[in-house]
Amino acid sequence: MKWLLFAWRNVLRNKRRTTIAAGTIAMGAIALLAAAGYVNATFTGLRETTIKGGVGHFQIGAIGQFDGYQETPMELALPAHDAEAVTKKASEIDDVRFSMKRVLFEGLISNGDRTVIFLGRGVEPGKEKKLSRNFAPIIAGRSLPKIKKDKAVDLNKVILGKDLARNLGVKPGDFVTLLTTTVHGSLNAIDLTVSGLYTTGIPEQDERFLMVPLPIAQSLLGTDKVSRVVVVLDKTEVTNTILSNLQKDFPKLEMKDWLSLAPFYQKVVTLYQSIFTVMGAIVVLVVLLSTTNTMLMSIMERAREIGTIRAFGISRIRLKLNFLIEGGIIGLIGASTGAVMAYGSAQVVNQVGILMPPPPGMNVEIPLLFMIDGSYFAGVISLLIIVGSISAWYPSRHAVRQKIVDALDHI
Amino acid sequence: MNNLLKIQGLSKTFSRGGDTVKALDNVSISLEKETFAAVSGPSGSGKSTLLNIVGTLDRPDSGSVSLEGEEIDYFNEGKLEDIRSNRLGFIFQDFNLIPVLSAVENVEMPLYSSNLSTSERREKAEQALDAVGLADRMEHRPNQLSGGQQQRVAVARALAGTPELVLGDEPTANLDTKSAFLLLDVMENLNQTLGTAFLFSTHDPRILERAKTVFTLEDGVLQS
Ligand SMILES: Nc1ncnc2c1ncn2[C@@H]1O[C@H](COP(=O)(O)OP(=O)(O)OP(=O)(O)O)[C@@H](O)[C@H]1O
Ligand SMILES: [Mg+2]
Repeated sequence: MKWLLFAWRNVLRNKRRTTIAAGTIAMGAIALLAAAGYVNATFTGLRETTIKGGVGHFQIGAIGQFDGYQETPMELALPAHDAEAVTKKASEIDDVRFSMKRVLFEGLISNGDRTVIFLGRGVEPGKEKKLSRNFAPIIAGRSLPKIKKDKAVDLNKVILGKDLARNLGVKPGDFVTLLTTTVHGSLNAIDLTVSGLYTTGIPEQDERFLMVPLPIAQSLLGTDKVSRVVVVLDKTEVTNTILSNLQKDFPKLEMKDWLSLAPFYQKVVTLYQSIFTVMGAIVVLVVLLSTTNTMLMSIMERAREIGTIRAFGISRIRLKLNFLIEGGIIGLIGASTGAVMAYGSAQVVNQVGILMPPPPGMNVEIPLLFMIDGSYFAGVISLLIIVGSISAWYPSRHAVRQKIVDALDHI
Repeated sequence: MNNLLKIQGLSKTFSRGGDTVKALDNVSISLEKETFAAVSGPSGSGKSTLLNIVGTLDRPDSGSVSLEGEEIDYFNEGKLEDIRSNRLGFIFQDFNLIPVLSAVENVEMPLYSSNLSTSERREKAEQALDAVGLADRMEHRPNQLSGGQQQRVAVARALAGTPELVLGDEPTANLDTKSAFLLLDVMENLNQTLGTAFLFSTHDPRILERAKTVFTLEDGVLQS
């Protein structure tokens, strides 16, 4: 207590110098918090884009579905009763918005003259649109019809990736034939009307992809199995809890969360994190150098006092510790001030809603957001308290090592 | 045994550039307990050097210093800290009070390393300040005190840890005559009431008169 008070008085001793040092630390705190808040907002945005972009919060399949090799089509698919059971169970959980089924298949598509390979997806269009307003953005014609239980709808439709349509020379309204191997190993074909053309934004996908209503895919393949059940939640935070609870009830099914289904997200996170780490290290280093300089001045001019205090038997370690406390106090003052300022500015910027130019691969402006978690404040403040202490370390080391006579002689 | 301090064959050489100065040359001194002794000599004769070495603030080149029969090990920092905090007190020419601490806190400071409770420490410091006649100046900061008052706070600080020996390097040099004599009265009084031994250096012959024993140095050599 007495030492803390002593340190505190020494901090207050040269107010201007303390203010400058604390100000430098405050700037560092703002820089770190702003960067962390921006990166966090970006991660969150990207996370939601990934999930809403079709991945969902998690997906359920038969064991091996996500990375296994299928000898015959739908070999690693979920039998209908499993899909129903897990869908029913999921729908009883709070926070589960809905779940939907998908069939993944491949085959040949032909317009009569030309035949090319396709990768197909049987979907429930209504639910896909509920997950993503951006589901299969149509550039010509119309999207797939919704499947309705009570009303008969003509489901014999297909939507094609725009480059696939170009390769085949078909447009909405034309007929195409899809040819594939059934689960029994025989060939099967179906004639469908091209309902519309869509683009994913990724040329490789637009060249190969098509989508049909789920029942069409199943009848083409001669099965009632589904490849995957996609589960969509109210909020992303509860993904792991719900997934592991559901997994307990269905140990024989494989479940993968959005994170493991989106390697792209992880790569971006890793990239951003390394950029942030380098930037953070530079900020910390600059702050450290500047505060070390201040502490050096402050400690050097107290050489005689240090000599006096040591002459009365106060140990070097005790004295040194007190300089570290002084540095820590300056760190705390600076970092807290910076934290308050960062919080305030983040609130303002988030409220005002500044729009940033669209990132590559997107065509909408995104709002500039800072999401600064409580843990970031705690982390940055602790870090800068340590930085403040370390900045006193070298100067105090020199000061307490001096011979007492030399310290006392100091003018 | 009534021996407090025994200095034997103490030598110290300083070198600055190519020059070497023998600041102390084979000095031997004995001090009794409860003594009131002074070191005199012209400027550069080695007074400060002697007091610094006895006070463990500097190391001798050769020779030994014993406190109550126990030789000081100048290379054992832990032991030295213990000696400084429990057995010695210091008064400096420039007072050397800590400006951010009040008078009473300055006096308490040497006791920070003891295991006294806060109230015990405060009581000791108040007693010491009372003994130097500054009971009404406890909470003043050094810059609110006159030079003479500051030096009396310094005396109280030197005595707070109840040392056996208080060392003073020209404690009156920066004081006017009146304050200097007042300080001397205070020191003498403490010497008589508490039995604390004093060893101080001075140029001032009127101050020297008050000492029971006087050692004279010249060019680092003790005169007899
Ligand atoms: N750190 C040092 N480096 C070099 N020489 C020194 C050092 N300290 C003292 N000396 C020299 O040692 C000699 C004795 O010095 P000391 O300070 O002990 O004398 P003093 O009697 O206290 O003098 P004064 O009355 O002026 O204070 C002097 O010649 C001084 O120049
Ligand atoms: Mg001197």
